[in-house]
Amino acid sequence: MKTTTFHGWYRKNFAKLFPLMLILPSVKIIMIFCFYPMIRAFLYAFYNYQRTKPKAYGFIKLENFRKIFTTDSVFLLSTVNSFKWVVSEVLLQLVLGLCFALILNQQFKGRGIARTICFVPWAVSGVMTTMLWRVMYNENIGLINNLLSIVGLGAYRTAWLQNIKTVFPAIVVAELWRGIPFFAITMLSALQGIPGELFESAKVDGGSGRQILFRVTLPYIRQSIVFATLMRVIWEIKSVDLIMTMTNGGPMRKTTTLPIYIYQKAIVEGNYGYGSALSVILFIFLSIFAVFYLKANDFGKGIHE
Amino acid sequence: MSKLKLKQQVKRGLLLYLPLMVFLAFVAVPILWTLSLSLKDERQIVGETFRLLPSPLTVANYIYVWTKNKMSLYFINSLQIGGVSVIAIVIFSLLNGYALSRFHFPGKNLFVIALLMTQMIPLMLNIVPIFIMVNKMGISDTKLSLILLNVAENIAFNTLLMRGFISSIPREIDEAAAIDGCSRLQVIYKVIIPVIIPGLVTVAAFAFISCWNEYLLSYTLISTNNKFPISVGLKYLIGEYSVNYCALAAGSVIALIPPVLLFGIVQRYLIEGISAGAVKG
Repeated sequence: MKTTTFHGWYRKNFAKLFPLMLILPSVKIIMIFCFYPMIRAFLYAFYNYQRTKPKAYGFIKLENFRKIFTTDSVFLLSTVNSFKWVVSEVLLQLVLGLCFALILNQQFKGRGIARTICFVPWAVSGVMTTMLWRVMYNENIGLINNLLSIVGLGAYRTAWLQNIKTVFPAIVVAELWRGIPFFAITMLSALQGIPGELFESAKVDGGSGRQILFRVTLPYIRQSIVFATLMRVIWEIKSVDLIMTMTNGGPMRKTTTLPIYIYQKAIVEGNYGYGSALSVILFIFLSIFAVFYLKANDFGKGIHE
Repeated sequence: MSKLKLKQQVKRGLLLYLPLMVFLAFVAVPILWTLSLSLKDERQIVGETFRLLPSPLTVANYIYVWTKNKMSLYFINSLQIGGVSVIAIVIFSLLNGYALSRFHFPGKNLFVIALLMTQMIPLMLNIVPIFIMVNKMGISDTKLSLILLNVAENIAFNTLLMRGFISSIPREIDEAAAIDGCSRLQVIYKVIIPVIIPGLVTVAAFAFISCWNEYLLSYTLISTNNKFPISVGLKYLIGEYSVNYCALAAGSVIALIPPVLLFGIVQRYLIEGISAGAVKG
């Protein structure tokens, strides 16, 4: 009897249940591998939890955070490095990415192939970018040093990734290699959304090229610029593959950003609690931008095709 | 008149072609230099004269990395991990995309926000609990652990992409099939899938590139050398061949081939995908 009523209920509500059944497997996976670990990380942040000292395990309230903010000089240093990293990456990507999107949006011969070449780095991972740029920066066989010698600037030859003065700009440039194309793609899609009549009427009104750019084009895509900038901020805060494989935070911690420091503390040293506390701080930095981002995205409603 | 025209052409050259050429060079040179190194004889590069292009050309470095160390093994590992992950990602994102494009259901918006949030959570926050959890589940140091995590990481973007593809199919087709006696699941695999094959290929390509490029999880979770995917394998090659740059360059070129080839497939959808706001950076 009971089963038939359930069956009846099930059949009656099948239309409502069907979409939920479709998403159920994904919901499970996301819960287990994305949200559950996140909650655990927040809990670990309040524990003394070290791989090498299992006996010391215990709840220590805000002790990890107290240590981070009072005695940990590397935390401050890596936060400053992260800040430098994000600001230089996002600013340069914004300016240069926008410039190249404007160029790639012009009519010229070979535009299709130019776009393809420009966007190739999108498919290249952080590790692969490291591989490519290591042979650029290498002291002896690197292209940069060899070209410097050829043009008579041999005095400027250096080991770009070992020199503490050049290492930070060097990793910034390597990341730009991937980042500018990324930004340019987003901007190009925004530019293509501008109705052509807008330009025509601006031209009829006698606007110069520069006036059209600053009075018509840029204001029209303003929202996309904000959107893309926030997106890049979030990614560059998180970004870790390239730095980890290229310098692993060195030399002399010149390139230790917050995620690199977290990895060293949590996974390499095995100080899970302390590492989690650090990553909670990273998460708070990131959520500030994520909230703006989700809001700009109209909380997911704006992405209907 | 012709003077004006000349002036315009000079201006166009300076504002358009010059920066374009500089940028194209910036993008292409690291790849070309690596390619050039990979085709050089190792003794050439330590020679006193610097050569831009290899002469004589040699493929010895490729043969060397492919046979003399585990490059081929890493390549196959990555293919296996990527292949299985992609199948799962395509199935899940098809189901999700169909649900999102065809139905209104309680929690729909919440689901979309949750998907977007998975893209925001820094892996660095989750890596410690994932590391511990995977150990407790007894799947540490297995390809299975990477596959499960690849799926979790890539569902969001591919679901949103798939929703777009499915939304472009008119609903009337579903309804007609239902009238002809198709069950709801049959509608998906008899009607939707055949129409959407280009979309499925695109999603698969996006997902494969992402899995192929994944590094941090593999580096953390896989400790047995024989199970390394290519991203981690290459990282270890750096240490092993700190002198033999030609072999390293050849390894890099091999690892670049699959994602760059697939890039050709996804290129058309890159703009849409990235504006959907969920491609990983």
